Amino acid sequence: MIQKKKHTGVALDASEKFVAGLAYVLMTVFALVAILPCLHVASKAFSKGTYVAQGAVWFWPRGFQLETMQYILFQTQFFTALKNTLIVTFVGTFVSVVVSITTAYPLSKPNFKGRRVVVLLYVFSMVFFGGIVPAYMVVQMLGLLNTYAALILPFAIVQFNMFIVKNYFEGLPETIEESARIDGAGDLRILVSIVCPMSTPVIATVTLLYAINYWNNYFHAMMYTQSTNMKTLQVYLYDLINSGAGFLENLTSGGLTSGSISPNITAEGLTATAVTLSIIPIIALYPLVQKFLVKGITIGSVKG
Amino acid sequence: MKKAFALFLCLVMMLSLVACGGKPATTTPTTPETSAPKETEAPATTPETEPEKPSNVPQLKGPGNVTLKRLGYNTAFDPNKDINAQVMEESTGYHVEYFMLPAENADEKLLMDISGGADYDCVNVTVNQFRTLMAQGGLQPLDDLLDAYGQDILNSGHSEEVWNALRGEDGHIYAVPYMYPCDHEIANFMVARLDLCREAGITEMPTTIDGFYDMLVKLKEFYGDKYIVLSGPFYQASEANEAWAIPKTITAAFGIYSDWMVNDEGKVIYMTEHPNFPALVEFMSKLYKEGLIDPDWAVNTESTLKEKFSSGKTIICCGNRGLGDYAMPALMENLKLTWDDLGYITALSGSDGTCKYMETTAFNFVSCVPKSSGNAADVVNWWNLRLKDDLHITIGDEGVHFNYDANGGIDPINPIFAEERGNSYWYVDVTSATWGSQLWPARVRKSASQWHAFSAVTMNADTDRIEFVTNEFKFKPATEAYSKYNTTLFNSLKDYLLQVMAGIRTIDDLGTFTKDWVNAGGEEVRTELQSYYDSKK
Amino acid sequence: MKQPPNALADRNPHSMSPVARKLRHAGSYLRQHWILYVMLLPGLFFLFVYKLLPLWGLQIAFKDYKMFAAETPWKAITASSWVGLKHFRKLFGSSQFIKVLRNTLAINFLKILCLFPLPILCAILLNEMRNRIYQKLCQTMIYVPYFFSWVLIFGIFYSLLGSYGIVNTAITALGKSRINFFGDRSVFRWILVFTEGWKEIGYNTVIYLAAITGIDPTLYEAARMDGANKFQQIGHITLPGLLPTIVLMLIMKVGYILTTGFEQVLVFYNPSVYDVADIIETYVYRIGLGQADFSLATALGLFNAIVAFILIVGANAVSKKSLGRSIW
Repeated sequence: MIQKKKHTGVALDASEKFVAGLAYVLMTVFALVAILPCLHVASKAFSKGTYVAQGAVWFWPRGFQLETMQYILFQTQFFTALKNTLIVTFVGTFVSVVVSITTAYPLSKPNFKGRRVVVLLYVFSMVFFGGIVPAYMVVQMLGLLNTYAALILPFAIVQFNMFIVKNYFEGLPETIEESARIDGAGDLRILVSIVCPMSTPVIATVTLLYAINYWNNYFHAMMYTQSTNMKTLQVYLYDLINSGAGFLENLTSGGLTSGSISPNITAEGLTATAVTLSIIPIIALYPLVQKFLVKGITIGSVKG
Repeated sequence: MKKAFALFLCLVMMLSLVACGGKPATTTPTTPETSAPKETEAPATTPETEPEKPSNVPQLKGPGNVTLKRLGYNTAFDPNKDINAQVMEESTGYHVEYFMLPAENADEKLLMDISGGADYDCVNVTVNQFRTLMAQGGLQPLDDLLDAYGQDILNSGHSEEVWNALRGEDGHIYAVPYMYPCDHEIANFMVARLDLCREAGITEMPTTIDGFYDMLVKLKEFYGDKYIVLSGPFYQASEANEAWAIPKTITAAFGIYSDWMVNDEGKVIYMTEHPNFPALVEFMSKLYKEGLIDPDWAVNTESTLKEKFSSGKTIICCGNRGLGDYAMPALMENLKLTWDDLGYITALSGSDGTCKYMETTAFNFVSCVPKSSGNAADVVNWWNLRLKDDLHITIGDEGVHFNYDANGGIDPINPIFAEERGNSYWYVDVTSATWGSQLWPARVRKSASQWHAFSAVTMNADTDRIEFVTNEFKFKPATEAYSKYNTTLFNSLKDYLLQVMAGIRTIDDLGTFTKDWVNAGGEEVRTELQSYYDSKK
Repeated sequence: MKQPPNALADRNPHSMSPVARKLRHAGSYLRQHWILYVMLLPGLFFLFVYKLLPLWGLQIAFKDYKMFAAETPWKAITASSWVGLKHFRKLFGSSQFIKVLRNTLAINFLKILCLFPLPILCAILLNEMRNRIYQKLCQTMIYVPYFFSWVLIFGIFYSLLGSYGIVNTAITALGKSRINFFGDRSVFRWILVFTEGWKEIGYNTVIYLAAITGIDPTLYEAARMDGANKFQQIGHITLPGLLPTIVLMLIMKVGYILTTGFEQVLVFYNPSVYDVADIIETYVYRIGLGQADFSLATALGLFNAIVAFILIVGANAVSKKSLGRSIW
């Protein structure tokens, strides 16, 4: 149904109202379904040990205590692991985003010579994997085992992310570039001064995707490091989840008499706390990135 | 501008080749910062009565002159920072850096690290990992070194059988043993909520399989669907072949105690070939159909099992002595229970009196030296020094960490024992033969709940009723088919059992199962085991 | 400016052969746009060193790889002996292979069918929310589950759906009998689908949202002035604008249809549901990957990669033909 619009302000017609309403309802449901189990885990981090073991914790902490958090932060390798992950994520994301942009731009030009070959090469490398032993050996032969470089360089390019950037570049209007070229700008200047500012949504997105990739990486971080102080957050978490119970058994004395560890700390509580703490930074990144996801930036208006 | 950009890109590329600067400084040899109180005996000197020429044996570099590197299994604390590392350094004088394997994919990581030339000096691994390493040629023989520097290790009381199990095909010893501390432990049993049992009119724990069945029925009648009567199976993360789908307490009554057994005629048989196997499967199916066991029997993991028990949903739970550590605090607080409310069901007897449980003599871990290490002599020396000071290192000092009780047993003093020696178990490389009987019980005793379970089930085990069967294959050296196929065979057996219990397959499928079993290499494994068994006679 | 002697340039352009013309065109393109080629170098460099060089190890799929056969594992690749298709025969010759292949395809197909449209829907709806703060809140909330490992997710959903879990407690309170969600073959695949959706929808929404914000807002203005309602706007502007991203994502998902989901299934499944949930990778894992059999793992990886490559190329060809869009 089409209604007459007012001249001032933004008038909503029925279909707009409907869609907006649907959006609010549906997304609220999705958001609740998504977040409630996460709240459950976070609650266990702050709940009294016995309640956790009883399974009596729902979506808010019961018997609020901070001992588990203190234990994780100060008695385990949490901070070392966090530091490692932060370094890897920052440096890695920067390198990856730059390289992705510089790779995607030439490939987004339809008449770029050799385009097909290079893209096929990327697709090929995306599916064919030589195996963990050869990958490990390459890293080892370069002398990079147990270094930060080993946690960054092998994944500096995620082909999928590069394709996302390429897609976006291909969608940009050609006219802007053409007019810049007529003005005498070269390829590099066009990329830096024109294309990138127009691409903040995709750059922000790919930054986020890469950051998540580095943050979440477990398998390769585990394979390429040996020292206990090179553990990343994910490796630390896995070790805690898998070996935490056994380790705790040896340090408590039945939890009833005073052991060296407060009875408030259970294996489940440790896991919940560590998980909660390790999620916070990466989640906080998203709102920061959202700033750049602004509706359509156009520089000047381009006619025809 | 363009040129600068191009230069920048070249720089980025070079980064990847040159960026080794991030290597953390873990390999700097430390100056001896702690002046180690020298042991009165100097084990570095080779005894003059040694038949081998001393010049064949590498000289020791000495405690202050070398940093050893030890790789162990996964744990959640940092072994470099733990107080036990300090204790050992003070005692032996050796500075050691500690590394650990990851929680998952440990086998692959181990192989890749060792073959890729990671310079570990001492590696603490499971028997399976040891056998793989040895078969691949990754280890050094230790005979000469043990003769020269490890006399206490050689004289620590282990039998010839134990040492033979650590020999390679060339007859040399490749590892030292860290034995499982208890020879006749009933490791897996059932824990029962006596408070709920008493309410239902049950006052004694059953010792026969029929009594057990009656008990379950009675509980079910009394409580209906409100509680899970029997929950299981118990899979502990670290135990591979111990992850039995049917509790050993029950299989004992049917005379089944292991996946590979030797029957009365001296023939090696698989569990599925045991005459009582169909009866065992029938029994478990019956329990499942009548709702006497957890409907999620096939789904349970260690954590879900523990959670159900500690939240009070389960009446009888399969477990080991660690179960109490986790569950009791919650139960005792939430439901106001006391120790009297926990009972234990141990191995059950069949109606003909059969009750067979396998002995638990086994290797816990072994320690070995990779071929690439140049410090093998010092490693053996270090092991020897620690073995001499075993009591101090693993348990502590009298009056501070422990006291002797009336029977001469070690009674740990908490909390200092847990604080200062709690993690010492991770560091152990080699044990003496008496470690299990004298030192290790102290570790169990530090936990009231573990001690409660351990004393009830193992120490007070009714050995008239329960027959501990010898494990014929406990020290079997590695053989090809067994290493390749047995884990898979065992997992298939476990799957089959769970599927039959859940009603997805039946005992009539045993024929198909056996065919698949043969295809998966079952007969080859049997041949190897049979020849080993025959050669022992 | 002195022109270097150029035999080609001296000729009349119209009399050049097509090849020569192409070469000349390429040559001049290269000269004019050399910086573009330089831009490609870092990416290609990383690609070669870290992704293509290790492909040398693919040959162990046809060998009996013994890691200690030479001084280093790398040299051991060439030192190990050829066994031809032995590992592939072990993989495919098993009586179970057809079944696990069928499971793999069925589960992943179900996931694509049910889950693929949802992030698109979420992105569109989120974009229509007027209240920016609430929009950002919802966006962030649906994206949190992505960071939970499958082990954790299993724990959460087991306490929800286990036989004595929350849902079943409610069901029994209503007088019905317990549903064994994790042990019931008719229900289990849906659990896989649902938990995967729970984990991944938020993350995928991020990608589509970015694409939406790249759509020129003047298009919407123009459409409104022409009298289009919201549904028409979405249909004619938003969806076409999202099409490149949708195509890319769909091609990827289809390409990986044989390999995704291993970790999830491994954590969630149990012997009761092997018939419907055992996928290729979990099956291989059970039959012996725990023995560190690198050759077998590589053989499986190679098989998966070949299939994925074929699927991606195929899907791309279909997309090119029907929609005119191609990745390359």
